[in-house]
Amino acid sequence: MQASNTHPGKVLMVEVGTDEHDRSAQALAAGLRDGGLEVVFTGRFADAGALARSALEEDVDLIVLFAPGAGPSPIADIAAALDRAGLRHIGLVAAGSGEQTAPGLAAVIGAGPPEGDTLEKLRKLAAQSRAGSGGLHK
Amino acid sequence: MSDWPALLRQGDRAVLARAITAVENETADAPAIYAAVYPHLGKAHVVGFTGPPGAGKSTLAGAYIGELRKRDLSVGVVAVDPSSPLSGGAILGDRVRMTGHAEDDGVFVRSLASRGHLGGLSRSAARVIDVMDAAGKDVVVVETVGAGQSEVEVAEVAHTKVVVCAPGLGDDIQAIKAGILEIADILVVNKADLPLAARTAKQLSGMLGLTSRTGWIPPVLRTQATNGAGVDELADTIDHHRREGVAGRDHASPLRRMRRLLASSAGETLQSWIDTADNPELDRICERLLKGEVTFDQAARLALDILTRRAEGS
Repeated sequence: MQASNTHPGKVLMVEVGTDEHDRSAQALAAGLRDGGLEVVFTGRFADAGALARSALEEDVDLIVLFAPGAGPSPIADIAAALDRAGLRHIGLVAAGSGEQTAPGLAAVIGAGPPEGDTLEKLRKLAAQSRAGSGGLHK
Repeated sequence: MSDWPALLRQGDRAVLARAITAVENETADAPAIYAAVYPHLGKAHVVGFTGPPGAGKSTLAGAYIGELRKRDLSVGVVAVDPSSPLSGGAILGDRVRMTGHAEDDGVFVRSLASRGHLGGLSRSAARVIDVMDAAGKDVVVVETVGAGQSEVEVAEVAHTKVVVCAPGLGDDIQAIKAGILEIADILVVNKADLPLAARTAKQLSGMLGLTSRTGWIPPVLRTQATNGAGVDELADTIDHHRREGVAGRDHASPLRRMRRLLASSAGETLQSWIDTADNPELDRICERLLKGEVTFDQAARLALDILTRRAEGS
């Protein structure tokens, strides 16, 4: 009867390279929530440095970029900003990206609400990231 | 980060973030953090923003944070959003509403999911506030879930409670009256450009005249968070409340607060045990409940008896 405080993971989600305000981004966020993840939803991407700072303050395990149509350059910028901030342990995930690989990208998922196996993959990545963060004793 | 207690006291961003995580998840590091934080508590002024959904709490809190920064005060922000009772997941959307994408060394924002805890905060919120206090924040702004009525918990952690509502909603006023009017130190009618704002403010003033316990009569202010109108007056009024020394008169002592947290934590543990334990005795109690042989109160005591016996037997 030990109350458990473990949770499957905390995610920072941001829209990259979408012009119109995107309902499908919100659907993805809701899908992640329904998969048990805690999602800090920060809307439209503005600046890689600010994003890294948010990720640091929120101490997230994953960053999900809602990025249909986004090219490799914002993804690379964000990966570099995470490196500079000492946040290499955070898993960077692109959702709906045309790019299947980019430096620093841990996974690519579909843009729609995630299915069971995708959620499983994200939870696993989150757990890896949490283990790699070193907590207070980094 | 081996010297994390010193770094935490200096407000190091990475250490503060990870200390909060440890407290939130009650990891093995949590006790050491409580011990490191304990001698340094009580310096920050804690301001709670609560009120029904849609009143513009986040936007107003964001405008207030901007005003504090103009006054050169450092700010910690704790924003609580509800967890889904089904999946345990949550969407935490206050951060962007509060601070946009601003990069400011003087502001540290942390979003928390309520994780099943009722009362408008999360179980760990009070401790997260303590960590920010010890990290040297001048002001800690706390935003509650905003479910409407059961937000009184913020009264225990905030020195100054700001209750935010929108104009002209009869139900809105009812909700406030039912639960949180009693805790308000300052009432704000946000979206003051809307019709009925003046009338709503007047109604609230009328209700408030009757509820002063501390000699402080809660003022009713009008703001427009979106353009900043009235926000400097709000900041002045909060500071006035702090200087008057009435702030936190019904603010619970740390021991009292801990008692409440213990009660709520024990309640959660008990609830999950009764809900899920594979125990035929519990089934029998439920059967008797179904047949009307015992009342809920009696049944609860019977269930507790099982636990007591188990504790004595072990």
